Amino acid sequence: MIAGQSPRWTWTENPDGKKRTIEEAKEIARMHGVHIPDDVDFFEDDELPDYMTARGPKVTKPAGSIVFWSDLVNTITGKVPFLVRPDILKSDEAIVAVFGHEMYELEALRGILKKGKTPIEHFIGHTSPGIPGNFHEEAWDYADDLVERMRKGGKK
Amino acid sequence: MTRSLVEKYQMGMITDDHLVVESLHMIDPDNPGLVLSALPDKILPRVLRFVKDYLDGRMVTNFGVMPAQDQALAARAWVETALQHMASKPA
Repeated sequence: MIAGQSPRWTWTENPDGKKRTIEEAKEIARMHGVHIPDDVDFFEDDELPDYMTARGPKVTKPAGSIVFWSDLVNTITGKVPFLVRPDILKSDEAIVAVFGHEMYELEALRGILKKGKTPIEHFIGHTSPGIPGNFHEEAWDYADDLVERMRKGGKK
Repeated sequence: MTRSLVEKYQMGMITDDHLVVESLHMIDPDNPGLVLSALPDKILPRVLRFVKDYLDGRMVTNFGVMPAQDQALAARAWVETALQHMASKPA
């Protein structure tokens, strides 16, 4: 079993133990309703800590500074990078949940960061665990719904 | 296999600022060039911008390491010199 930090479900590993590639994982996520924009990239990263299923960009600024969308982008690729823990790729349920969670959170952030009024403290508050009602929590609710639908055999 | 920060950056795995912050955290204030000279030239202006904005004890990050003030100060001096040398070179 693979468990994330705060989702409601415990994700089941693929019966054959098959580990997906990132490209396969993106396709699986899309098949189950996750919208992955063209300006986002995913990478497998074996250096992520055990408690973290995936991670978006690091942002570091002086207190009170505004976070901009461009702070999340790698200027070589023009994309926002997400790093994924390798064992997530051994469970299609985990893939759908984790990719769904990250994309929900990112799209919510896109909406506010493009206005250019979000200080770093609020940015962190939106994406940290343990803060009721923030984007992070909403994103796990969304991810849980995706997995529930997946288990019911529902299509996207 | 562990990839270097620069490799991760060039592959698109981390952002420009992520590369800057983690590289600054690695430098020896007595020899900042050891780390900074390995960075792509295009990153150096971003290093300079970060260290100019750096406020000791008032930096905030969403995760991971943070450079210390002596690292930021050493980097600023090294990068300013490096950028001056680049600017004075004939095209």
